[in-house]
Amino acid sequence: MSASEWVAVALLIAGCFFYLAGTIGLLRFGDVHSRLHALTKADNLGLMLVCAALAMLSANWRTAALLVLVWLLGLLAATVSAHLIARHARRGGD
Amino acid sequence: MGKRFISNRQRLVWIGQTFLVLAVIWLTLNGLDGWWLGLLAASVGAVTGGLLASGRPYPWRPHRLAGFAVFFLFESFKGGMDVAWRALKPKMPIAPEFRHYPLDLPEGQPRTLMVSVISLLPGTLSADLSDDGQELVVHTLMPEAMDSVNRLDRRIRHLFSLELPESGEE
Amino acid sequence: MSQILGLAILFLLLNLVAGLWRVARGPTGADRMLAALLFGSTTVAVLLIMAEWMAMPALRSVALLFVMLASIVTIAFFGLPTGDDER
Repeated sequence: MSASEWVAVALLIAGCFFYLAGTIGLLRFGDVHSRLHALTKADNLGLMLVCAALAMLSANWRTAALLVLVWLLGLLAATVSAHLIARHARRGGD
Repeated sequence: MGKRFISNRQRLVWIGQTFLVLAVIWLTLNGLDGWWLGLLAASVGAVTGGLLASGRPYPWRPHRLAGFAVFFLFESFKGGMDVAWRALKPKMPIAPEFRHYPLDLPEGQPRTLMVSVISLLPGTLSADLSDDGQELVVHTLMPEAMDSVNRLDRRIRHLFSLELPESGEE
Repeated sequence: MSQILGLAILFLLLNLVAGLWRVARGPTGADRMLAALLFGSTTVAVLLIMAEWMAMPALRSVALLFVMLASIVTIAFFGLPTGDDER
């Protein structure tokens, strides 16, 4: 494997690790809001690392741009969803 | 505050900015193949966006946006690391609580940016806006998390060239 | 390389299944809505890795579409905060 492939593998493993951490937080934290912290922040770091790994593997700037776009939209989805779910939970809706 | 008012000139600024963003996205994804379709799609999107815009656009400086992006990348990275560490540690060092933060950023882009970005900073989550829209309810995982909210506030003011809270009157 | 990508996909899917335990258990409705977030972020990563793994670039477009729909789904479910505050 080439050097860039090694870097990509390292990034991919790191990304999977953050996905795992997010899920562990989701299972362990005691209240809805704390679980939201775990999911939004850890999963988006995971997505960022996975996207970075795949961009290195594809070695194509257009694919890389698409991956960046996916990541940015993922961030947007996470913040919007987190805010709406948090608000819903705090206002006692069910 | 006259916030609902938006002049035709401001609408044009919205349309121009939206068009640029959409055209750049089309170019990166598709290149110049079928450029006329991209032009058409970006124009329709920009005009629709401009017509639906409900607040005035705030002037921002490109180099400050770059600085903000770096700040955001760094802080969101820290945020992910922090929450992962807290979830994995056997003792699980979290002290969840709700804090109120007086929101004196002007409505529109600055405020929206604030509410969205908070959720990705270390230990903070924007949980609610008070009914009058003057207070943000932040859920924090640790007491010192509010520092990053203050830093974000200052960064946003810098990005949009707004005065600091002491002299602001919005 | 191929096996590593396959393993990553498997790992993420197992991770998703583990997260579903929380979703199934609740206890509140908001906990169940966390499923939308979890599915969104995990599926997108899986689709992107699959695109590389199976050399199917079209799957990247699927991921793009998926991630765009992710925010719309939550907005459709809860509605945007309007009316009772000044937005």
